[in-house]
Amino acid sequence: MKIKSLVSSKIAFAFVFLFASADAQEVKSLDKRKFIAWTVDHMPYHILVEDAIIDYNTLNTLENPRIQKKKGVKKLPILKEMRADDLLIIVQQKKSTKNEIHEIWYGNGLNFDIIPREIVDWVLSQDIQEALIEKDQYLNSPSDVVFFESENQRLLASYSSRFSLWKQHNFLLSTEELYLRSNLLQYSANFAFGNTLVGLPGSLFGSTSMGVGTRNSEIGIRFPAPINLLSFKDLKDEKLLREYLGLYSKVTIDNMFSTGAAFHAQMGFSFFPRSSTIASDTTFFSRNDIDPKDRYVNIIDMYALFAATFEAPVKIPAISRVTFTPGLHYMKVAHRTKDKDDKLYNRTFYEYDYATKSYQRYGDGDKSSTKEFGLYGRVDLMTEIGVIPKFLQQYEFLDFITLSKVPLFELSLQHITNLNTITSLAVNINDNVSFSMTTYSGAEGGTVQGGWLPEKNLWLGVRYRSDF
Amino acid sequence: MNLNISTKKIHKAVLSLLFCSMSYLFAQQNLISWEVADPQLNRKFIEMYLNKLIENDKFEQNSIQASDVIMVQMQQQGDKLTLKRLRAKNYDSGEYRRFMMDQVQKLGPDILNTIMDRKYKWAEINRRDLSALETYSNIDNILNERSFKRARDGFWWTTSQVEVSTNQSVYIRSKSTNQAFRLETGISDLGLHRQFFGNTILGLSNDISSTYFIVPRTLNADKTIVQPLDGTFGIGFKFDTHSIGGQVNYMDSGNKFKTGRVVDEEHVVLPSASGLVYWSNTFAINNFVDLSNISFLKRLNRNISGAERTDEAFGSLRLKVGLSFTEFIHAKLKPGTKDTKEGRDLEITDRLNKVDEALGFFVRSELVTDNKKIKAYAQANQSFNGFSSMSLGAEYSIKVLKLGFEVVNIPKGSGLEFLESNSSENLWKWYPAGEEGGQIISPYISFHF
Repeated sequence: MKIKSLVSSKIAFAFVFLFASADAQEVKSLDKRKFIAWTVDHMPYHILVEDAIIDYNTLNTLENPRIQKKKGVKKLPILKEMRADDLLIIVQQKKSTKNEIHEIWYGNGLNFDIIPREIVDWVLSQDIQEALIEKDQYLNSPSDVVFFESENQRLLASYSSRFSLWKQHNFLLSTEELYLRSNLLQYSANFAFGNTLVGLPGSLFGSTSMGVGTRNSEIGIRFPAPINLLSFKDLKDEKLLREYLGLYSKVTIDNMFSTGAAFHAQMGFSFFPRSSTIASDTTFFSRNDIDPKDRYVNIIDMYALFAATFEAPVKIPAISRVTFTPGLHYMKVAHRTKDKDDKLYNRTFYEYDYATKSYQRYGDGDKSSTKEFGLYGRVDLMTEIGVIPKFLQQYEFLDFITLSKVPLFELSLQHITNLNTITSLAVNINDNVSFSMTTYSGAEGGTVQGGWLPEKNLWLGVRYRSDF
Repeated sequence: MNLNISTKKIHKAVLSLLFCSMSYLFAQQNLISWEVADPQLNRKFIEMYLNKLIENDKFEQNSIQASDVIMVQMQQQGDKLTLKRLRAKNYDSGEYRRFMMDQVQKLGPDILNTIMDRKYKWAEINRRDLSALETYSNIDNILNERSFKRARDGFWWTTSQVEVSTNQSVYIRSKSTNQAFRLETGISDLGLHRQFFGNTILGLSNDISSTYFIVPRTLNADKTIVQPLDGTFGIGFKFDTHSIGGQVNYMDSGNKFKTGRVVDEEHVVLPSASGLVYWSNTFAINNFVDLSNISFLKRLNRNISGAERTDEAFGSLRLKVGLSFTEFIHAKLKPGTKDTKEGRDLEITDRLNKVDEALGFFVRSELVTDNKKIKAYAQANQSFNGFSSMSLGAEYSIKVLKLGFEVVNIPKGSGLEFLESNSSENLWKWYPAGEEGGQIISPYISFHF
């Protein structure tokens, strides 16, 4: 009985596998020296091609009795219908006297279908082809998908980097963010609680950001509503950042100057009110009856990050990709005291040193802000996609882990000089769900003074990714 | 009674009319129409047809010529796909001619199937062709939408590879990588025009987004400008897609300012942080106005690439409507020596950043002709705090040269009120062009190649 069920389940599996394999054509890579390829980001053209494929299929399907009558005519392959969220990639020969489309690729991840040169003229009208080939005339972005030599490379490339503004899946919910993407409008909505990339995870970021994104840009508002989920240890709430409404933006430029490196930049700032008198010692608090929670108010005036990501040419067993991200980091924090009327005062000190019997100040004179300008470094490693290391396969209790499109482990180490070091380990238990652990340790003797950042902390995280 | 009967009749008539229109609409959806773009097949089919007419002694009734182009319309009804209409289009005379279908049927299944299978080069048919096939469409030709990019490129960066202008802008664009270096002055989308704002933008752009540094610049302002805006170091990002766009900018008021480098040490006005989000749409301007009869525009339109496809299209008009949020600060330089190399801090006396002080409206229209020879724009910015500006400009391209002008208008009373110092409640008013306002006309020349 058991054998029977095993055999039947194997047959079922084989069928599933066959169907899954037949879902897309087997694709072969093209020579990067001989072809150029780009994705069509202009939705009206995407729709034109979708409709052209439907029309082509209508003229050539088996439902068409005219075709059945023709004897001896080899059945034409019927093209797979193109979906709204499929990538549409145009391939052109670099050195050709003909200004024509060589191939058209459409699909996602590993599942790509190809319209070869021989039938491009049958599927697409001359007008659409002319419009598609004139890539200067519509929104497009360079694509490497057709040049990858193996499916593994293609999978790796489609696996989003931590800096990507356009995620692999159109729905992502985690303890750090909520990401929703429209397949039709080509825009996304993003809600973020904290910003680990700029060194401020959880409520250290002091706000929740909400914005709208495109493939390589995002713009939005910072709300004064810090959210801290699954955080452990003391975050020094009394000195934590107080935020005001602000704005933020992120930009990505892929394949900068054809180097393969991707450029990332992001910044945000707050709109806080003017300040008047200067608070230069603790007697100010008692004289003005300042509430203890409003004595040490710290505001992120501005933060910025400029970084470039490139894949390191190193081969480590079981590691599929190592990326380095060097960059520059900047942060300016305004130090204030707030009275009961919400009026702000410049605060020039952060502590009283009983040993020297003097106030610890942010600088000479009446300086009431801190600028931190640091070097940024980040290393990301991931294990092979869809592979569970052998030493883990022997444990039966880990059988619940099933992966095909994601790596088992993702590890990152991020250091910002004079600010902090953040390490993160994510474990994917299947293609949709992962658990993570993020540790934080502040830089000793850094330029960020005033004790508003913790020395150490730990965050646990959960992430769910899927497609609608 | 009679009234009831007539009401019922009207209802019936309306219902039948609705039913007919719906059936007509559904029928329309199942039609596939195209034009045969393979000249050999065109000739072969028409020659076979003409021979058949001669063979059957019907040639005298024929008007189709061998140089005509065949238009095909197929209809799908359930599982059946049938040839519905066949026409011949003469490009010289613009006439559409009917085939004698009884003679077409006699050509045999092979050639007919070849035509119907559409395994050859084919072309789209336009609205006029559709009417010849007795099918009517009110859908705009989607191919016209590419003009959006043309309109956008003209203002986002440049349609050339290098463009250097006396309006203090430089663009160096690599077409192979779709990236460009940009140098601009002012932040014009926010109404902070280069004519009264001492800053320079140095950045890197791709098709959609741009990131840039803001650096201060010594401004040689026109006499109309009484108190320009000061600039300082900062950064900014902007992006622009076919339907939404925006930007954020930040200039650090904590920077050191050198003596003599600010307009007025007692009144430094700085747009320290700003943001803008807008919605946009692009229209073919022939949708609004028939410009085909204006001879000047006819001449301009002569060498348009792809003009045949878009028929009457003359240019693209892009409209942008959005909200801006700009924080202005008023400050004075802290006391220092007369050493011009010494950096001095700002003492900020006021920040205008509440919603009713910083929020503003932005409206802009951009026009680019299809031959890229003319571009023009008009823009208005109005904020709740009382600062407003309007501008318009046009540019004409002659080979590698572009001649253009900009007009910036600062209306009467356009300005801001700041607290003059931290110790008093006195107000100081900033009017960039004085209380009476003013207008600046700036001509410029650009070179592009």
